[in-house]
Amino acid sequence: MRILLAMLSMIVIFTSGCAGIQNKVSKGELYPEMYREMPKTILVLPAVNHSTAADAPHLYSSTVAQPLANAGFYVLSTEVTKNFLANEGLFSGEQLSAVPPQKFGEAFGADAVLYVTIEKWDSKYYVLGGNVTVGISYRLKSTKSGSELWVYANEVVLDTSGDSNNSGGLLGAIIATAIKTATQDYVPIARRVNNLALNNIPFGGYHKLYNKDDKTLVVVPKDKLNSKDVQ
Amino acid sequence: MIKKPLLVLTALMGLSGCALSPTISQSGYYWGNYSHTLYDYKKSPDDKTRTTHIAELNSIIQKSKELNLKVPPGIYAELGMYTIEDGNQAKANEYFNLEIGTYPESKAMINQILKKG
Repeated sequence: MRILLAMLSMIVIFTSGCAGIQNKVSKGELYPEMYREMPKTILVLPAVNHSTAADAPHLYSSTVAQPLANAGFYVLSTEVTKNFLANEGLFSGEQLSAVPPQKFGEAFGADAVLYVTIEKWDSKYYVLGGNVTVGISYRLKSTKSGSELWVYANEVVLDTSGDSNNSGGLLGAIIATAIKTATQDYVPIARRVNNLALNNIPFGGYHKLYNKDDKTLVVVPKDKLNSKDVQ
Repeated sequence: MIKKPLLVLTALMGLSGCALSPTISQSGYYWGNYSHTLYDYKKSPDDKTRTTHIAELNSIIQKSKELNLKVPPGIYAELGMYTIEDGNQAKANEYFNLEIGTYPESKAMINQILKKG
């Protein structure tokens, strides 16, 4: 009996474990155009950089195709896309954001284009603490109508404060914070932002919940980047 | 007697999908260490990181076949691109055709790349 109870409670934990309880709206209400068009193929453009880190788009590009494919879409490798665009004389996300989405439909045969903007990719360090923040906004546009099918923005802040109770005392904590802040890798944080984002998108044709997730409740994305997920 | 419920529990945990079977995604892909080897290559591009990443692409293809899964989108095409860089156009075309064979909707995109590339 005890085993059964333990089993039941574990099942409850696991079935409820994926979603937090927050202010939520169904995907169908949030993104009706996405369900109307349901793109199969998505072209991911090199990211536009609004952060102060020059290498952010370059490093970020290794993180996005995989979760987007896992969400059910056909996505060309970002490496292949980047090389192809470079052959066309298009190198930066800034240049590419000026190109209307329809052009990518003609040139690539893609159903939709994903414009990614890196809003934040930086660290803050102060005497008693520090943090590293990655903020990203996403716009998926139809290559047929040019309209926005899915829009999302979020940021993840990782606290890099040292433990002030450690054996090194206050000075030790300050040094630990400085080191943790300076050496913290941004890419794992970027992956978490992507995962939050792609949990919110209406899933594509290869996902087992394709066309079954319009009633799924998701957290309403903020217009501004003020939705925090502090670790 | 105790073992059976445990088995059932394990199966249920797998079905609920919350990262307990991390190697296969909800769309049914095996990615191995893809994003990590790609990241290493992009962060410090040299022969070693490139070779490691290409080996990972081959391993993903191999493992996907063993697991009876589709090779994830873009993997064949990316391998094709590196194969062009290495000067073997014929082998590269095989990879691009495999990409189209696995994902027919990629045909327009791949053909554009081959035309311009």
